[in-house]
Amino acid sequence: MAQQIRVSFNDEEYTLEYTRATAKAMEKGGFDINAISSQPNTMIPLLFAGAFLCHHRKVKEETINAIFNKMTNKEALINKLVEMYADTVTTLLEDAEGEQGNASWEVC
Amino acid sequence: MLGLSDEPSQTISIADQFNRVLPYYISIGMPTDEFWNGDVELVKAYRKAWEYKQQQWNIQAYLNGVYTYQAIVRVAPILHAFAKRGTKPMPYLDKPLEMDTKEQQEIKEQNKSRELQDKIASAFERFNKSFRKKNK
Repeated sequence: MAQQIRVSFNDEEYTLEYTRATAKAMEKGGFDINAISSQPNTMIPLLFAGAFLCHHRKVKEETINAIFNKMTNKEALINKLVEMYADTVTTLLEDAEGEQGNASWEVC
Repeated sequence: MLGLSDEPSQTISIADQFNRVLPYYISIGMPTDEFWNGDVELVKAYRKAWEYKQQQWNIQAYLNGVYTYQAIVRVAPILHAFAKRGTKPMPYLDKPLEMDTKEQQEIKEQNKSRELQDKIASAFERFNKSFRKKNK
């Protein structure tokens, strides 16, 4: 099951999710996941707005911006959204199920 | 295999990556609507299902081979150039071969170990008898 985020705002429930079609549309609209750290002011709003395309295509930009402004723990939210967006591609990669990797890694 | 791992992802747009692998998923039976608009995790299930299908086809091909072999073995007597007059082929299998299921294999294994236990027990008995005879 794909990862989703549920958001409550003004008595409305929103389900944030990416599909390959919305990821493609986001890219067409100027979103570039590789530029998220170099151009955060442009890319983060696009990333957040793109998550509405799957289930709430008709929600206005102002509403999306208002929701984003009210969101708590934004850093974790953005990390989760990046992970969900990346899932549209990583799920296409072959994975050897049941096989454990033997190369460890850490963030420095 | 899917054309994603051989080139760095920065140089290829995400749309290109999707378009590149789409024919593969169509070939394994995934509808394009599911690929584009469905749950992104579904592709994994399609890949696994494809793996199972291939295993089933492999078993099917193996069974075909077994039946063909059985048929040849049964007509082999009359195919012999110097076969005696009146030689008849053996009749074809009167029923399909039984599938060797996991349970059947377990039963076979249990029977084997039981046979082994019986052999060991009878060997001990024989040894005891001969030992008693010698000590009388």
